[in-house]
Amino acid sequence: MSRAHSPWLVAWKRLSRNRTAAFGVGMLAVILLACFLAPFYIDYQRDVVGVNIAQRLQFPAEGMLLGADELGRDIFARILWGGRVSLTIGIGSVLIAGLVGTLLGTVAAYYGGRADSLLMRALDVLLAVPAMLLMITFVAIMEPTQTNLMLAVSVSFIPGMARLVRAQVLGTKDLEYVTAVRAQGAGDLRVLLKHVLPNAISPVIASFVMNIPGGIMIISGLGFIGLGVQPPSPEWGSMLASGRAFIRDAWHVTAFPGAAIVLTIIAITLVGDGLRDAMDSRMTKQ
Amino acid sequence: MTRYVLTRLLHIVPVLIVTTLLVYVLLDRSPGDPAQLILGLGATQQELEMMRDQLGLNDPLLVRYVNYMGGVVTGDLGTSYSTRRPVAEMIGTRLPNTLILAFGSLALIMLVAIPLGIALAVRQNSLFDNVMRVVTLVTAAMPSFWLGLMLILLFSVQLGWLPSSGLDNVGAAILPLVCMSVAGWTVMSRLARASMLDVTSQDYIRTARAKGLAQAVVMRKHALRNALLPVVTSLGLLIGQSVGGAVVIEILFGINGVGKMLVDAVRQQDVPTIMGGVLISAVVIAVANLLTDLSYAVIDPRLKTMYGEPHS
Repeated sequence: MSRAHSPWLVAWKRLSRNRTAAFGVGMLAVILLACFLAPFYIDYQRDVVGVNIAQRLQFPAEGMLLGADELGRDIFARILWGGRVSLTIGIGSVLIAGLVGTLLGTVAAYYGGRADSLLMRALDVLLAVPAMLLMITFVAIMEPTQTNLMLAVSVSFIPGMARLVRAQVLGTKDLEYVTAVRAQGAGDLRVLLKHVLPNAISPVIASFVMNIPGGIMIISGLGFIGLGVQPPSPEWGSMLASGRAFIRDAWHVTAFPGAAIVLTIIAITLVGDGLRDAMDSRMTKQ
Repeated sequence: MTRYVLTRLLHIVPVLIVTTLLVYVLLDRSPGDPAQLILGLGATQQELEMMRDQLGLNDPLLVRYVNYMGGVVTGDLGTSYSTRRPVAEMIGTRLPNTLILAFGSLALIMLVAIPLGIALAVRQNSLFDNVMRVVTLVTAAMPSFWLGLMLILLFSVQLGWLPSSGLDNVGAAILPLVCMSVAGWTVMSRLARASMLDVTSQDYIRTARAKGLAQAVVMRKHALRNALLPVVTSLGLLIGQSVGGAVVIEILFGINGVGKMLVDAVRQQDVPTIMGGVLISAVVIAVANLLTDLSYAVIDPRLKTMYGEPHS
């Protein structure tokens, strides 16, 4: 490269040159737009929660792309509306966990000693409890609203993320350029925010993104066992659960919400894979 | 070796204490009055107060926790608020089903994923390898319960080959176990492939080949053991997922296991039963992790010499 570019620009260029990743980005963009713009083109009262017994379990047909469920509600409209719940919780929980995990991991690595071992032991305990059991415990003590569920999912992500960041900061904080900055008189906060974190974070961003599918799985799993977002508000997992009873007569009620989960997770995985390759500084020469 | 097992066993205790304390403190915040739950809405204030006293609910949190754990040591997990039966007994009848699901799927994952991963590594970048890369992208994206629904649709509804619920015979176990294993097959075969490729690029493998050993012998005698180490290590993570995943599968296939009991208990605010379910899951995971560590020692001779007798 003849001129110096910011690492983010280099990463972006590499990402857009990677055809699979670009496909993933496009797919994810369509899904995000379709779901989050749903209030602008779908009538919530009529199509999403409005009961219409006349078209009960109606198979996919003209005007009703994916058919209707057991109460005659448009499945396509419900999938798009439900996607807002799954995506908000999936992405939101990773953002929260990313922030908290980065904070804890950085503090543990940078200050070391007592703080480090105390924090890491505490997080190890959380890591030992399976996410599903942790979520069930949380649902037992609080209302399963979207915000509460998002916070609960993020708790299960924090230990893993804190560990990743801690390892990265440990590898960065004693490098020569950091010592040089400190010798110039920079304080802890400045050293961390301007010099250590930017280099420590970029390799783990892809891993952060790779947690989003896990969040979507957990939240739809909770919805499926009836402990997630409560009806009538649609959610992919609970749509599958209510379709279970009609599986003998109407395959489309269970097939399509699940397909929505699969497509969304594939899109995010492709983006995550691409990010991992793009952010990896060892790939610069290629 | 005995010392190694004992050290590992001792490590379980603090993990269990902290996990149970965490869950106990959390569940203390659960809404609803247990006394009201047991006596119903018709109970007088006095009756409620007596019931609370009887249940020990008026003691401080930490005292209650110590009492609870004292009971746990003697096999008493308390009494369910909703069924009024001992929690230990409720778990006893349901645990076998959950264990079949959790450990059956673990075994199934290992039996399929390791050979598959090795086959993929040996034929790196072949058509097979590339097709499997796309297949695993899709299977990794499938929630187990949706896969389960689709398999029920195919094998129970359309073909009528397998039952869609229960766990009474081998046939009924096939669909639940497969659903629980698909995610593991994906992750573990990728891992086994990467690990095998990593090992086979090392110098000692080249040396073994240079000695004139056949490819099969090099793979089996020299590469396999080392390649399996990271795979076995990640078994630990898989165990937690299996126990957690069993909850969803039990609900889907209507299997009477610990997970289903937990979900019912959450709906009914039945705190002792929730506590018992989480506790037993934590024990199962801890014991399974111990077994993982032991199998690790079997595969890696360095560990055996570290803890074993000097000349074994």
